[in-house]
Amino acid sequence: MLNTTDRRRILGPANAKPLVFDRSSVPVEENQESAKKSSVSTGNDAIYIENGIVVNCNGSSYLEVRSRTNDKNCTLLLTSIYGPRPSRGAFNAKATLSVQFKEVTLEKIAAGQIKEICTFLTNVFNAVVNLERYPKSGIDVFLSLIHSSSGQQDFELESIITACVNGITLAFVDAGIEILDTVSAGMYKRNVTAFMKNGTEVVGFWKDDDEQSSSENILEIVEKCKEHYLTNRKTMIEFMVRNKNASD
Amino acid sequence: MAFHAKNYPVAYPGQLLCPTFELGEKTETFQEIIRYVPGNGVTDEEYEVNGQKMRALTATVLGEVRFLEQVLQTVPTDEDQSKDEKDIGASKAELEQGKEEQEEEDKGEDNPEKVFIVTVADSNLAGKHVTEDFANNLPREGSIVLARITRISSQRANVEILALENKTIPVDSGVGSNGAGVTAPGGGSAAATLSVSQAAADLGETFKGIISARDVRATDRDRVKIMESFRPGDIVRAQVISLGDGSNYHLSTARNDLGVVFARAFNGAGGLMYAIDWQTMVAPNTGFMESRKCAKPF
Repeated sequence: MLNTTDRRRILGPANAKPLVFDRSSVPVEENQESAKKSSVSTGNDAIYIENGIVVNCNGSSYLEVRSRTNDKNCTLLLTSIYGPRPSRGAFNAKATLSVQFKEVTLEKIAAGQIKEICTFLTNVFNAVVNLERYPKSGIDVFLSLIHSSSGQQDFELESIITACVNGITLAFVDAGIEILDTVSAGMYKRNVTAFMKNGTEVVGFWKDDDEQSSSENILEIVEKCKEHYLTNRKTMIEFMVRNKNASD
Repeated sequence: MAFHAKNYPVAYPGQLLCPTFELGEKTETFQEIIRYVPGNGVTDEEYEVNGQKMRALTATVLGEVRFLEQVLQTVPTDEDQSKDEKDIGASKAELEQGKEEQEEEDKGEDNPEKVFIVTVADSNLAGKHVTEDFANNLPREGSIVLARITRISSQRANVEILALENKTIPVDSGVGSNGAGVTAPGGGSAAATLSVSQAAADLGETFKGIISARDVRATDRDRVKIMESFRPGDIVRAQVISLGDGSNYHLSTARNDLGVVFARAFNGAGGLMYAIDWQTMVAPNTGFMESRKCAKPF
């Protein structure tokens, strides 16, 4: 055993102390206490937001969104962000973003659909995160769906996706990673649209097969989504600013 | 009222802060132009207002808005240099300071352009000398980093980056052969501020770098022996010369103020050593000397 030396580190004598730069930083435990709560009612659906629950990641958010159809049902989603951390492989002048989605309790969504959700969310946030600021790094987003509303369908993909977009944005803000705008999504029937710049730019559009809105004009659908987007965005900004002022 | 004088509430991502430039005071002889440059936490975005496209600065993180006036860097002249060389008495220094101030005022009137760097930062981090915000201060060309040697070979030393000096102050002396770079005053690292990487080194999550043998020192580059310059475990102050390849930054210590800052004797088993000249370190309790490429400590 003696001739297998660990070349990666030198531990030094047993009483060696690690290099410490500053002790004035806030201890990790306080993170949990300082996590602020917010429950904001926005008309027909209420959102509950909490930030910084996951202690070992760079930023996290927890969302509870009440279902449109059933008051007792809601979507519970935990988002955590790790990074920017060094990426492996070829040189990349920009950061690479990856999104992982997982149902942590009951698995109801098919694997193919989960992949589709991940690709959709990656596309949306590739346009939103200021990737140029983080060369040679990877940013990993992990979504844990704790509960999803079971209305008429087994699961409501559109409300899950809306919660995902909002949750990721809040987690990015919590992590202090640069994003171009407080991006949020709005839904109408079975359509989801993600907007930025106060609704003047669309960064993502998701449409599911559905008889209810198939006859409607796509522009009208986007307009309807925008209404929901604006209330969501307002809620998120109110939460962020209130949370920030309370922590100062 | 100019944008930089306004009082801003807490900024959130996507909040519009100010235009890229505006017109300031106007007198008969000149028109002041105020330019805003995006800094950390701010980006320059295109917006459409009433069908007309315009650029504006937007916040990208949650925090307080700050405007920092950029002092225009003046090219040192022969006169300035001779002034530095002279050993000036206190009263004379005061006098010259007064003269300099006057000169600056003159320059201010000649140049109608003012430049402000706009930043948005978390107030909990701002103003602290050591920040944990390594994520928003990733190493780039020219940054000074503190790194730990992880592995050496005859051609190169592999390092992992521990911290980044994120605020550099124009140099007054101690600049080596690389010319007019920016370092902390006197070349020491103590006056600079640091962003410390929180990544766990054991998990391999730190940014890696390479110091190749030709970048160790500025003279006699082809006779460098890595073994006589660095040992695994040494803490090195180095400058990023390029972003390198996919896995490694390329670093250099070819400057007086760069090189080993902390080292233990006997491959890490002994005590901390002190630099006695630029290529020797001594262990104070045993008196043994080892060779290193040392950073100028003051």
